[in-house]
Amino acid sequence: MTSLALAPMMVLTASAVVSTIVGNRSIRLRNAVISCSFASAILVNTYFFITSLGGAFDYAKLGELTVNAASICISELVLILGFLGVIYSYSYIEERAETWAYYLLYQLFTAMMIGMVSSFNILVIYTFLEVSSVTSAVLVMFSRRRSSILAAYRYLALSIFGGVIIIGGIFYQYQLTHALNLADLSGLGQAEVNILSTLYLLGFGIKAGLLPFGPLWLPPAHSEAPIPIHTLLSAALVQVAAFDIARILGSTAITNNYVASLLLTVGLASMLAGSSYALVEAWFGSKYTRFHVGPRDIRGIKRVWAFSTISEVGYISTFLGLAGILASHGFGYEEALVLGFGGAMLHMYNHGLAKSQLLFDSGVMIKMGLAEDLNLMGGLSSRLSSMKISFTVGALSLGLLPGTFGVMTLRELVFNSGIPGLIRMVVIATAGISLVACLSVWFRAFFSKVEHDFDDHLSVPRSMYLPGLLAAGAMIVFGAYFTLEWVGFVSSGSGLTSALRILAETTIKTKAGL
Amino acid sequence: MSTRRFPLGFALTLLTGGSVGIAIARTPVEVFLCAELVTISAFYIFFTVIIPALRPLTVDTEGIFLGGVAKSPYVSPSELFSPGIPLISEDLDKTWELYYDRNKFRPKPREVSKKR
Repeated sequence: MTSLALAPMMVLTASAVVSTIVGNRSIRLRNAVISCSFASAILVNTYFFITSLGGAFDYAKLGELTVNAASICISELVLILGFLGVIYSYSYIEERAETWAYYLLYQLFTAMMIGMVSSFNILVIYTFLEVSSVTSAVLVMFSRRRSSILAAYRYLALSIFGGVIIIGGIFYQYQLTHALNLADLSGLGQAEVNILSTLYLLGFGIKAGLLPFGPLWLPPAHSEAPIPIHTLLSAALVQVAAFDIARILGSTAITNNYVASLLLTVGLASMLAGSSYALVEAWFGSKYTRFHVGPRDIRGIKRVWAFSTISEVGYISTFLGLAGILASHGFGYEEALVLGFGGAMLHMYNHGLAKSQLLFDSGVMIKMGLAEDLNLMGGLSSRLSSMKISFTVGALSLGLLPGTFGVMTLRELVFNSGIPGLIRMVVIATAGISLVACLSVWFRAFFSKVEHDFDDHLSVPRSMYLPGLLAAGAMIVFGAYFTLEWVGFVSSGSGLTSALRILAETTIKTKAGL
Repeated sequence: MSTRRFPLGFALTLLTGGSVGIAIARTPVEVFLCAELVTISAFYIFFTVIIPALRPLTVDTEGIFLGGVAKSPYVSPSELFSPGIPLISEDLDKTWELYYDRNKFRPKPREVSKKR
C-alpha cells in the first residue's frame, strides 16, 4: 500500500505515452486521459500528504527513489500547478501537427520534477534535473518565435554548465565517501564539506535562478515560454531546485556556519536584485534590465514575473541559511529547523500560488490586448472587470501583506524577535519593491489609456480564467486562516508547528524523529 | 514515425529510457549508465538547438550565390535560411512579433484574429 506513494510520477509518465497514442484518434479523448491522470495523481498524493503529516505514513522506497512527507508536499504543489496549467493549455495551445509533443513533454516534465524531489541519491536527483532541463527547453520553443529558440539555447547552455559543476561535485563526493547518498556527507571534514556545498549550491543555484548565474537564463527562457510552461518553470521548477538545495545542503547548513552564511548571502542578494530588476523592467523595460533575447527592447509583462522569481527564490535560500545562523546563535536545533525549513516550504507555496495566478491572468491579458509589451498594453479595466480585482491577490501576496498567504513569511522573517535587524530590513525592502512592481504592472495594464480600440470579436475561453481564480481563492483562504491564527482569533493548537516540524525533518532525513 | 519527427523521437527515447532506468536501478553502475544516457540526450538537444539559434537574422543570398541561382525556381532564400524550430519541425510564427512591435501593432484586428 505504501508503495502507492510513488504512483503520481509513474502515472504521469505512463499518461504521457498513452495520451500521445490516443491523441492521434481524438483530441477530446487525449485531454480526458491527461486530466484524469493529473486528477488521480493529485488524489493519491493528497492522501499520502495528509497521512504523512498525521504520522501514519513515514516513507516509501523503490530502488533509489524515496518518497516522504517533504517530497510529497512539494509534489503536491507541482501536481496542482501542473493540473491548472494543463487546463489552461487546452485553450491556450493551438492544435497543430506537433501539439502531441507539447502534451507529451509537459507530462514528462511534471513527472521529472516529482522525481527531482523523490530521492536522497545525488546522482538520481541530477539525472531528473537533466531530464527536466531537456523537456522544458523544448517546451520553451513552443512559443514558435525566433527569440524563443535563442532563449532555449541559453537555457540549455546554462543548464549544462550547471550540470557539469554538479557532476564535478558528485565525482568528488564519490571519491571521498564511495557513496552517492546525501547522508554520507555528514562524515566528511570541514574543508571537504565546504567545497562540496559550494559546488552543489552553484550547480543547483543556476537551476533555481539564484545569483550570480540565474539572471543569465531565467528572464529570457521564462518570458519566451508559453504561459503554462512559464508557470511551471517559475512556480514549480525553481522551487523544486530550491528544495533540492535544501535537501542536499540542509543537514550541513544547520551545523556549518560557512554553508549557512553562503546560503544567506546568496539569498539576500537574489532577493534585492530580483525585486529591483522587476521594478526597473515594469517602469523602464529591457533597455535597462538587459538579459533579453528578443529583436527589440520591450517592457515585458512576463519578464517582470521572471525577475520577480529570482527574488522569491532568494527568500527560500535566506530561510535555509537563517536556520544555520539561528542554530548557532542561541536558538534550539529543532526551533531553527522548523523556522528555516518550514518557513521555506510555506514560502514555496506562497510563491507557487501567487506567481501562477499572476501568470495565468497575464496570459488572458496578453490574449485580450494582443500585446506582451507593457508599452502597448492598457485599458483592460472595462474588458476584464473581475480580473482587475483578482489580479491584486497575487500582487499583495508577493508583497507579504496580512490577509494573504505571504503573511507567514512576514511573520517569520520580520516579526520574529530572533531575526537579525539587517535581514528584517532586506525583507521589508524586497517585499515593498515587489509590491510596487506588481502594482505598476496592474495599473499599466488595466487603467492606463491606449491609443487604439479593442477588437470586439476577441474573446478568451472560460477555461483560461479558471486556473487564476482557483489560485487566487486558495491564497485568500490560506491567507485568512494564517492571519487569524497569528492574531489569535483561531487556534491551530500544535498542529501547524507539528506539521512544519515533520516537513522540515523529512527534507533532510528519510523519516521524521530519526 | 516520419523522418521529420525522428530527432525529437530519438531524444525522447533516450530521455525516457534514462529516467525510467534510474527509477529501477539497483547498483551505482546502473545509476551511472542511466545518468549518462540522459546527459547524452541533453547534449544532443543542446547541439540541435544551438545551430538554428545562432544563425544570422538576415542573409544576403545574392552575396553568396553568383549568377542569379539564389532565385526561384533554382532555390528560395526562405528554404535555405529558415530551418524552422529545432526538434518541433514547425515554422516560426511571425504573428507573435506583433505582440512586441509598436509599428506593427494591430494593423487590422480581424486579420490578427484570423492568423491566431
